[in-house]
Amino acid sequence: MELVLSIAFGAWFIIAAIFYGYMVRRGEKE
Amino acid sequence: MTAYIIGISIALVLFIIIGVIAGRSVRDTNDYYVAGRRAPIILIVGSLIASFLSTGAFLGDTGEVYAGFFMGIVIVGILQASGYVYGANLFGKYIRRAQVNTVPEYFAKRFSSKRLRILASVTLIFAVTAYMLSTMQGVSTLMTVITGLDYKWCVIIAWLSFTIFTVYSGSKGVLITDTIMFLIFLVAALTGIPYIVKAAGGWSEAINALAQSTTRPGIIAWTNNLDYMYPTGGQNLLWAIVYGIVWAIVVMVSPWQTSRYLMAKDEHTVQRSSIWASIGVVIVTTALYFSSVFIYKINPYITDSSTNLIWAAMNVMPMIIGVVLLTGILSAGVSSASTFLSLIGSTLTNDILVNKKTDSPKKNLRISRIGMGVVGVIVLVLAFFNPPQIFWIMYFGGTVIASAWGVVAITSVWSKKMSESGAFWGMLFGFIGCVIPKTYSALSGITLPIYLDPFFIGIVMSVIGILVGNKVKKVSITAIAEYEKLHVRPESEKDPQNDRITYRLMYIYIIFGILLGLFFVIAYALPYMKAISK
Repeated sequence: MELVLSIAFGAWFIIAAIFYGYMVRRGEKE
Repeated sequence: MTAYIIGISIALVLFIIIGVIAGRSVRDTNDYYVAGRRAPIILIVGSLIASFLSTGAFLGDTGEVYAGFFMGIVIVGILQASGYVYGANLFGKYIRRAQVNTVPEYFAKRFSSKRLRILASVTLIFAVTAYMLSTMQGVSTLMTVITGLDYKWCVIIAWLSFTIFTVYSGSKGVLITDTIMFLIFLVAALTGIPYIVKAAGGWSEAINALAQSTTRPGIIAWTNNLDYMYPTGGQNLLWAIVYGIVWAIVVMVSPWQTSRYLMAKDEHTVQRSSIWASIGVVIVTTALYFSSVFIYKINPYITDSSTNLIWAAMNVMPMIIGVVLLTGILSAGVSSASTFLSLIGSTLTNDILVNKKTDSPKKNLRISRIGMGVVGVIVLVLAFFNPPQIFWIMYFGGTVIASAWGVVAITSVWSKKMSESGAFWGMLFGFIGCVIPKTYSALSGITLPIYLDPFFIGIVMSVIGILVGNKVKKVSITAIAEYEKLHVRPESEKDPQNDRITYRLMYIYIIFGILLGLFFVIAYALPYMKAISK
């Protein structure tokens, strides 16, 4: 479980990064 | 002891001097409330982090880690830090676009509503005063421990250290001093660690010993220590995820975070700052949490667990590093308190005493300073006499604002159908929905199940309030026009080169995520698993 959580920490920020990229691109078209 | 007192005194005097110097360029209320809307990334990031991390993080959270709740607090830290990215892109960028001085003014402008402005201001003042008093208590307690001075004197010194420049300089002084204080506690959190690790017998040895701890079993396991909060690992994990989400929402919408975006020089600054603030918070908090769990390995007998970092600063580190760490902890508290005071003062003068505004910029500035000063004196009286009722205000803490504002804030940007009535009742229901169950829970001594946390009851009530409000009174043409205006990108923001730089930060954030995951796998999970398999 400790290993799963450690990997999940990294994955959590990668998901947030993808959201950020999407929102930046979306904002350019506003 | 003398060195610690001298170090801290120099820092406090410097903060006042720098803050007051920054105030000399304040010409009008625009400078005073939103620092002229010209702040670069470094100041926004510094202020975001300094306002968010206070004695609660440096003494409270680290105390919980020391007491056996390491992974629980780490999970909360990781989840909350991502709130910057969601908050800046879903809310922060748009309130900056609205060109307002305060967040309550944004709500008022978006829905052309005076009553919403008053409600937002009252909920803000209630929640921020609560948070501010607990921060002042933290700073004063820390000063008492370090200096041996009477608590009441420490309250006055702590108050003076941030009130003078906040009243005189407003947001300009707060942005600059926040950033300096952030840099101090960043350095403090990072430079202290090597000495703590060394005293704990080295990284691997410390993880090995903690994994097999018999005095506090499970202190670094995913389950946490089962005697500390809940009796099962699953419940502790659920608590951590729930509170991580709660604090991520606080980061997304709370006025002490989002008001920083109003000062950014452009929308690119808002978006880029969110990435750096998120990374910064993770670095500082992760360093602190590992420090505190290693301090347990060095000395498991500290009676008041929240003083473990203070103990390490005075007993494990060379004096100069100890001074830096203690100054860092103090800076974290003072920087949050200055932001809180400036927020309460700005809201009072900009949103509640709105009729007092004149045509003279100088007069308006004077009124704002007087308003801020009066708020400062009230806060001092409350903190000094600390009446029993204050406990009740402090108990509500920061989460109540996220309960009241969370759904309304995001939907105000993203829903065209949101009416003034929906926003008003959503905010009111969210506030009451959090405050009442919290009061009930405290008075009756009944601990509500995790999924019935008052924060979530508030969120559900807020949604109900929005739905009912929208039904009672449909959205007006003015509100639709404001919504549409909010989604038109200003010409000044359209710059392909700037767009590219802002977009590229996504890759830095991805790399950060990969490195963070690798760090936890290599420095925590693998050595932990090796230790328990022995």
